[in-house]
Amino acid sequence: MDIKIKIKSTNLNVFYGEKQALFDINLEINQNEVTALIGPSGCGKSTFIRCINRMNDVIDICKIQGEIEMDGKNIYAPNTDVVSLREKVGMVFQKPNPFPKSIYDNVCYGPKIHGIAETKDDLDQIVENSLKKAALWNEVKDRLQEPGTSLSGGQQQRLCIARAISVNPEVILMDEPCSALDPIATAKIEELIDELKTTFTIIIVTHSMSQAVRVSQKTGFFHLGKLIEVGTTEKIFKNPTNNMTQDYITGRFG
Amino acid sequence: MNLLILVFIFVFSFSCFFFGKSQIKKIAAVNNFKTKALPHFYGFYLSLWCALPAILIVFLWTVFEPFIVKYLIISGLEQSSLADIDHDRLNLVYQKIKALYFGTYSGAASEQIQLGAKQYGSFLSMAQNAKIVLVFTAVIGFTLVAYKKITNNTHAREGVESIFKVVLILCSVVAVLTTAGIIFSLLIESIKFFSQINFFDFLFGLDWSPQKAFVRDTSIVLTASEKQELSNAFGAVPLFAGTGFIALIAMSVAVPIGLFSAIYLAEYAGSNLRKFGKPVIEVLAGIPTVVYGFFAALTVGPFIKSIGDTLGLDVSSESALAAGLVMGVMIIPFVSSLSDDVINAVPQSLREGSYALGATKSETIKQVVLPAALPGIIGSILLAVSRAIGETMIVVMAAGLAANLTINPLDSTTTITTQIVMILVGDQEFTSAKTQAAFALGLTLFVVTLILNFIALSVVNKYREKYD
Amino acid sequence: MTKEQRLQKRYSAEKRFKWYGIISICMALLFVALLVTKVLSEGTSAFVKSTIEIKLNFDQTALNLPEKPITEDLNAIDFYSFAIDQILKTYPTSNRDEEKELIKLFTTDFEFEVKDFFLANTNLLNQTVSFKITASSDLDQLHKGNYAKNISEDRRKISNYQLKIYDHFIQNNKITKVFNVYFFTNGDSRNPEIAGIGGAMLGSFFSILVCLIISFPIALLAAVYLEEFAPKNKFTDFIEININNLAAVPSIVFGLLGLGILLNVFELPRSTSLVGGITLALMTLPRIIIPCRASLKAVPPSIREAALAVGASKVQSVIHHVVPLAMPGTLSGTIIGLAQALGETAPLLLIGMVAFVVQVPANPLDPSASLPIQVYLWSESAERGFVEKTSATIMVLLGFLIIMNSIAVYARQKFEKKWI
Repeated sequence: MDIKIKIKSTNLNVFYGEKQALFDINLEINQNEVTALIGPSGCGKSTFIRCINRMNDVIDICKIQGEIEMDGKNIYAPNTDVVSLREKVGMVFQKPNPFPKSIYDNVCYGPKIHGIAETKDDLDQIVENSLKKAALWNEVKDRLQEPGTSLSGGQQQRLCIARAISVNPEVILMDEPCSALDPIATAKIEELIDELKTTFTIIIVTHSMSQAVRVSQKTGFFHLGKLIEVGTTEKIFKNPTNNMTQDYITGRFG
Repeated sequence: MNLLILVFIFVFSFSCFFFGKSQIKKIAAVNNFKTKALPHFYGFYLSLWCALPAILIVFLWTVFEPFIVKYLIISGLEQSSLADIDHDRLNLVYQKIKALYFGTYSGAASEQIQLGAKQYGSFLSMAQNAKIVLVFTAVIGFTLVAYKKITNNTHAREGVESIFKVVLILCSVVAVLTTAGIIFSLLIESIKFFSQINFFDFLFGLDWSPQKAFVRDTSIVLTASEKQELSNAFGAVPLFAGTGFIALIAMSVAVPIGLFSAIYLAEYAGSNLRKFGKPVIEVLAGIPTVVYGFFAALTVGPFIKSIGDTLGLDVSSESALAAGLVMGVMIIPFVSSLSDDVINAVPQSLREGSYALGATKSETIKQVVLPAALPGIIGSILLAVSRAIGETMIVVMAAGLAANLTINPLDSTTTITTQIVMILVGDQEFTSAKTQAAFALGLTLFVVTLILNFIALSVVNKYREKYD
Repeated sequence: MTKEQRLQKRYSAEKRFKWYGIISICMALLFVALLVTKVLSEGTSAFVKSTIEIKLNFDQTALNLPEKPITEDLNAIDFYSFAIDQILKTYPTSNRDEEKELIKLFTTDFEFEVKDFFLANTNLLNQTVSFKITASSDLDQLHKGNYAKNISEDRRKISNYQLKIYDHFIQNNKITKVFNVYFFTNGDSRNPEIAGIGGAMLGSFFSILVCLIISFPIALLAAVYLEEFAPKNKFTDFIEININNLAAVPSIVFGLLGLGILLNVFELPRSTSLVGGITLALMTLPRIIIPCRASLKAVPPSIREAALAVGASKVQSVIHHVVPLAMPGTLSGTIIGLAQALGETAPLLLIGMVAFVVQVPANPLDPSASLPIQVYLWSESAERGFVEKTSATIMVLLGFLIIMNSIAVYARQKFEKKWI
């Protein structure tokens, strides 16, 4: 089986004003795999994945040095179209943020602005497929016109996942998607992630090491803005090379 | 005279302060107990009880004295030979009596009026003497009671603080009294108006020509047809239409400019531009409306007329368009400021959710932010409409005076507020239907703006609950 | 439509949207710029007035004075005849009509100007001095270039003969522009050249003073009550609803209130700044209460608790600690409220401050006008001489507003504590 590198960061340095948040990050993400990023709070994991879909552009004082390549092309090249990039790289946030619209409108928003659907039937189909892939269809198929905010926390997050899927991305970034959810909802989402990896490349930031073990194939350990160690999940958790990694996963800090 | 009384009260209570302060120390020393509060509180206690009731009496007396004297004189007149003259005529006689007493009456006065003037004078001096006696009694009386309390070592500080809290409550009630005053003054005159003019003729009538209601001898009873003719002269529909039309023109200027300015400043502008931009737009709100009216009447109006003339259109020099445009500019900050607040209140997470899907900034604003902020924006628009309807100077100076039912912005039309000003500025008889009409219009305006404000605020508040 | 085409379309829409915002802001600014330009260009000329220099020969016999004149003799001089005599000497003619036209070139107040000048300088008896008399409004406007000269005589305000006199004066350097003191010292007048905003300024001053004295204490105490002491019950809610409503009531309704109750029921004197001030105070009350409450709310509870912990009573903690800390915000809110009251016209119109008042008011019980009302009155006037005065009055009014708002903003920024 060919392991293709989907995303590669080279000497990535990120500054918030004067403060440096990431130091020389060199990390490769493999296609159709789930890569977990772990580490204590404030170590830069969220900053890193927000670089991949250039969400940090929204923050005025954020400065990026270095390269991130997707499919061999640097996404920080001057003439990169950010809008198209974000069609290919979707994001699910820590706190579920459905739009104050109906469930249907939440999911069809993305396809509509990108002009993916040609007819209303196409749109209906996309909505149905996305909701099915997000394992939410059966629960909402009879109430698509109700507001997305009327769902429970876990359902809302699956709605956000359906929304991310609806534009047919290649990569899905997940920033601690389960931290605001209860264990049962969490389990459902972890199940979902496992299915999704066959179609998408997934990068997940997580606080929970057990989640990383359950869900990912590759893990990177961040600490204070530096990538301390990266490798297969099995290796990182059973046999880490770096002492700090060892300390973290045994709960000595963080 | 009042000044003297107030000075007396002030001086007396001032000395009471020092008196109380020193007395309590002496008493405490003599009887060997610890005072329950610091000495100066006893001083305050004594002086407040001395002054406040007396000042209240002076205030109430001064405010209600003219009312009571007028009532006495007029009921005296009613009991005499003028018993069958109506109230308006009596009022006129009363004014003449007053004028004679104050020496501003010109011409020969009838014996009755001279008698009335003498009576007026005697009432005034009686009232004055009574006031002085009452005040004096109050000052002495309350001071004695308070002094007794002090010598019993009352909790002076708490006493003073209770007085303070009562003063606080009274101040808060002033707002309620003001509203009551507004409603009272508007209702009284409006009721008099609607006793002469049919309510539905007013609300739905199409002809507004108040000059027909000349000041007439109110002793003449009108025939039914004359009454009807009078009633028909006060159809307010052209006024409602004119007010609404000019407000519509104003909103069509203010809403796009205000909203887009708010969007730009909230979403696109850098922090420097935001810091300067918002205050600069606020400047528009600080310019007095008379200056806007000046600009509308002397610059915008003629400008529109000259453009219209070159295009061959028939443009009035007091076009609704001129007044509406300038009013729109005045309202821009109302729309922009409130919209800016509600747009900023939309959580950033919604925007990020949209950006993450690959939407452009304008798509995010149009399809996510604005719909989320919509209730607040609608609230701000309603408040702006309420402001537009109640605006006076711009329309008085730039819009027309003739009631004209039209949808042509190049025509002139008049508004509720213009008519109120036109009727009341200048000599008015408080008894003619014309003057009372102004109050009826004022009542309509008050009620409409109240309802609009209520709806606007409840819409904005409901929205705020959603995100808190 | 291909993917690229669609993307292009979206980006164009984005650019257009951004431009709508910029254009909107520019339009708003453009309006302000136009207004300011018009007012400045028209109004600056009102601060100067044209004067005509003539020779005054205070000959004792010509003034009909005895050998050793005493004060009563001086005051009894017929300055009218004397002045006319001196004026006619500047451009002699035998034609009665032409004499009248000459006199009309001078202000109608000419005798008073000469009188005031002489009585202030009685040592000039039997001397000849040069004196500048204010020109009439027509000559003033002519000299400032506001009258077209090349239209037919019957459509002009200045006759051909008067033009001749004017040219003659110009050639002999008799016409100069001096600072127009009358603009600030005089009350209103039918004659533009001596009309001033002195009355209106004092009227505004007294109104705002009365407004401040009434509204500030009541608003402060009401805000303190509502924020610190009021229990959460229906009565308090009712008061708050009333205050919020009053803040949004159109100002003309307050005028009706003033007319209906203050003038009609309480029979206070019409057209005075006292009544104007009370009406404005009722209107300004909620506009002070609201920022005052916001400032009080911003004081952290820890301050109140610290005061209570030292044994202060609730009243003491509020008066000694909370209110002083809320003062910057309260004061700036008050100044802004007063600035708004200064610019109000409609309520004062209804209580009669629109009467033509010539006497400068000496106290709040004298009838007066206010600055905005003066603008309103003069803008309605047909005379050309009032045009520049209207704009100049606006300049003065805006000047006061700018100063007041700047003080408010400065005070708030300098003195307000930023609670972390």
